[in-house]
Amino acid sequence: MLLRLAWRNLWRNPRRTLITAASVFFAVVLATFMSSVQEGVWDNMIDNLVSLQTGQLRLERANYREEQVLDNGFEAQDALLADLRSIDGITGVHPRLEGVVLASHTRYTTADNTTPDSTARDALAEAPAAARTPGDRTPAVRAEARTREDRTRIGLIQGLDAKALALRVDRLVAGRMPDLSADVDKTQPQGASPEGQLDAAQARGARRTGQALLGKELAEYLRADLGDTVVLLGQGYRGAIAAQLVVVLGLVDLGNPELNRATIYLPLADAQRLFAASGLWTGVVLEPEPYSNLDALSAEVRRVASAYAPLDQLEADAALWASPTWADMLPEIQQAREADEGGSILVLIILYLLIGFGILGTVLMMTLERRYEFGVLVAVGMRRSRLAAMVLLEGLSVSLIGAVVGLAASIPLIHYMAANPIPLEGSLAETYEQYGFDPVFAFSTAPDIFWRQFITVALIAMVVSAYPLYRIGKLEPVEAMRAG
Amino acid sequence: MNTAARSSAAAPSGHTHAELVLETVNLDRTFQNGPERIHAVSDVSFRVQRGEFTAIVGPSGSGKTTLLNLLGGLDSPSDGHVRILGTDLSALKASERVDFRLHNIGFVFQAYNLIPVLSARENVEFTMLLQGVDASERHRRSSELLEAVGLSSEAERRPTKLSGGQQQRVAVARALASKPAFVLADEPTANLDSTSASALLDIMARLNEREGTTFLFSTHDQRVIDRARRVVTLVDGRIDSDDRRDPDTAGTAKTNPA
Ligand SMILES: Nc1ncnc2c1ncn2[C@@H]1O[C@H](COP(=O)(O)OP(=O)(O)O)[C@@H](O)[C@H]1O
Ligand SMILES: [Mg+2]
Repeated sequence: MLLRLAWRNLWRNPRRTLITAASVFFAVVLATFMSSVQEGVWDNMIDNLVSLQTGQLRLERANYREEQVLDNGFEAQDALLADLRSIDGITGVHPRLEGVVLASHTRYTTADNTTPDSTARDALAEAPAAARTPGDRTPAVRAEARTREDRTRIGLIQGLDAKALALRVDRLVAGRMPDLSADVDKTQPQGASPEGQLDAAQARGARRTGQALLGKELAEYLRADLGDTVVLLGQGYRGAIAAQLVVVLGLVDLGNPELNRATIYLPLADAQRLFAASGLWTGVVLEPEPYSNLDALSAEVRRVASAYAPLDQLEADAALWASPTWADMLPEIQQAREADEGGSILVLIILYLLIGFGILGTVLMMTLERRYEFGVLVAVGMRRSRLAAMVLLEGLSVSLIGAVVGLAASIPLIHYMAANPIPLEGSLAETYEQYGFDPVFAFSTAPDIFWRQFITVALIAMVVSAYPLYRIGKLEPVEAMRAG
Repeated sequence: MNTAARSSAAAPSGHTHAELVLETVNLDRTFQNGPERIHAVSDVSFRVQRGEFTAIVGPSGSGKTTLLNLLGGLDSPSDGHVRILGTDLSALKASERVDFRLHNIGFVFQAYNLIPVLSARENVEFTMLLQGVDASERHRRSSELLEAVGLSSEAERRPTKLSGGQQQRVAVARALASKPAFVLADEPTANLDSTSASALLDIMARLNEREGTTFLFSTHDQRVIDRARRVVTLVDGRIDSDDRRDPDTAGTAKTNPA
C-alpha cells in the first residue's frame, strides 16, 4: 500500500518525474561511458604489458622478483604444471625462461651498391695495405669495398612455450613465426642440468642455430633483416657461458617502444639451450578467467606450489614460492592508473553533484508542495516515520528508475563498443602508441563499472532525501495545514 | 495498536447512563504574535458525553479552530488539560499521540481532506490500513460507510472527480472508518453550497441518531447551527453559552453555562 501510494504520487507530476529520471539516466550513461573508456584504455594497456611481459599472475621462486637471474629459476616439473592447470579459474599455464643477453649483428655493406658515404670511404682508406697486392687488384678492391658494421644492444630473452608463442602471432609485423614442430629436440636432457653437462649442451647449442622473433626497434637498431643471423651472448645458468646464433625469423610490434627496443622471443627449448639451462624455468605464467579475483587465485597458486620443491636439493615449502599478480610486478603502472582515476573521480563527483541537486530539487518540491496533505495524513494518524518512508521511496524510485533505464541503455551499448573499439587517428594515435597504449578507444565491460553507478545513485538519492525526511520528522499538522 | 489508548477507552467513566468521552479543564492557548499576546482559547472547561451532536459556534477569529486542534491533540494547550476517554493528552509523547488520534479521533477538515491519488474507497480504507485492519474487513467496512454517506456508486473515483460535497462525505466516511470515540469537524460545510451543506448535515445527523456517533463540529453558518442538539458559543476564546436543545424542537431554549 505504501508502495502503491508512493508509486502513484510519482505520477502526480509526470513531467517532473520524467525530467528527474532523465537527468539520472544521462548521468548514469555518461558516467558508465567515462569509466568504461578509462578502465578500457588502462585495461588495454595493462593487458598489453601484462600479456606480453609479466602475465596476469605468475608462479616463480620467492627470490626471483628481487634478483631476476637464471640462478633463481626452478626445475621444470610437469606435475606442478598439471596441478596449476587444474586450479579453478585458471585457463592456461605457460612456463617460460627469461634472461638477459647482448645481441650483436654484423652487417657488411658493399660500396658499389650502397650510396658511398664518408664511413664507407674512410673504411676504404684504412684497408690494410697487404690486401693491395699489385697484379691481383680486382678481388682486393672488392674486399676493400666491403664495410663491416657491428651493432650490439641488450636483449631481453623470453623463452616461451608453443602456446604462448602462438598467442603473439598478431604482433608479427614481418616474417613468420618459429617452426616449433622442427624444434622438438630429443637430444636435450629433461630435468636439471648438472654442471658436468654444460659443455656438451653448449656445444650442441652452438652448432644449432635458434629461431628468434625480434622487437622491431631492436632489429632496426641492429640493422638486422629477416633471415639475418644475430649473435646472443651472455651468462648462462650457474656461470655457464651463454652463446647462440639465432636467425631473425620475424619482427614483432609490441605496442610499446620500450618492449620493442629489447624483446627477443625464443621458443622455450632454444632459450634453455642458449642459457645452458635445459629443464629450467624462471616462471610459470597463469592465465585466469576474465575479471577474476587475482589475489584469491594467487593464494591458491601458492598453496598448490607448496607441495613442490623448486629444486631437487630443496624441500617442498610454500615459502620458497611466490605468486605475484601483475600489479605486484608492475607497481608503477598500478600507481599511474590510480593517479589517473583519481583525476576522473573529480569529474564524476561534479556530475553526481549536478544530479544530486536535480534530485534534491524534485524531492524538495514533492515535499513542500504537499505540506498540507502531509499535515492531514499525520493528523488522521499516519506516523511521521511511515510518511518519511513513503517520501524516501518516492525519491529513490525516481532516481532508481533513471539509473535502471540508464544501465539498460549503457550496458548493451558499452558491450557493443567493447566488441568494436573505435580506432584513433593522427597525432593522438601516435601519442597513445608512444605511451604503450593501443591506439583505440577501448571500452571495459567490467561489471563493477555498472553496479557502482547504481549504488552511487541510490546513495545520492538517500542522502538528498535526508533534508525532506528531517522536515517530515518535525512536521506539525496544525502548522502544515495553516501554511496550506 | 496503542494499548494505552485502548485500555483507557475501556476504563469506566463513572457515569451510568452516559459515557464521558471528552473533558477539558481550564484550557488556555496563547500565541505570541510579535509583541502581541493573543489569547485564542481562554479558560475553557466543558464535557462531551457519548452520542452528543455538538456545534462550536462563533465568529471568525473566536478560537474555534484552535479549540478543536487542542481537543484533537493536534496542538498543545498553554495551560489546562484535555482528557479523552480518561487519557490526558499532555501525558503522551508525539508518536503516541499520532497513534492515539488514529484509534480514538476522527477528523474532518474544512477542505482537501482526501489523498488525491487514492480513490474514494481507498481514502476511506486509509485509516483502517494504518490500523492494520485486514483487506476483506476494510473492503466490507468501506462499502458500508460509502453507502451510509450515499456514495456507493462513486467508490472507485478519485477526489478530483467528486464534487466538494461528495469529498466531504468521503471525509466523514474516512473519519468513521477507524471507529473513533468521536469525530471532530472544523467548519465542514464552509466550502459547500447550501444544498451540499444540508446534505452533509443530514448524513452526520443520521449517523448520530442511528449509530450513536459523537460529533463535535465548528461552524458559523446559522442553518448548520440550527441542526445541532447542543451549541457551545465562543466569544474571544471563552465559552459564552452552552445550550442543549430538545431534538424535536428546533427552538432556542437558552440555558446558562454551568
Ligand atoms: N498559530 C497561530 N499563531 C498566532 N496566532 C494564531 C495562531 N492560530 C490562531 N491564531 C489566532 O488565534 C485566534 C483564533 O483563531 P482561530 O482559532 O483560527 O479562530 P476561528 O477558527 O474561530 O476563526 C485568531 O486571532 C488567530 O489569529
Ligand atoms: Mg477556523
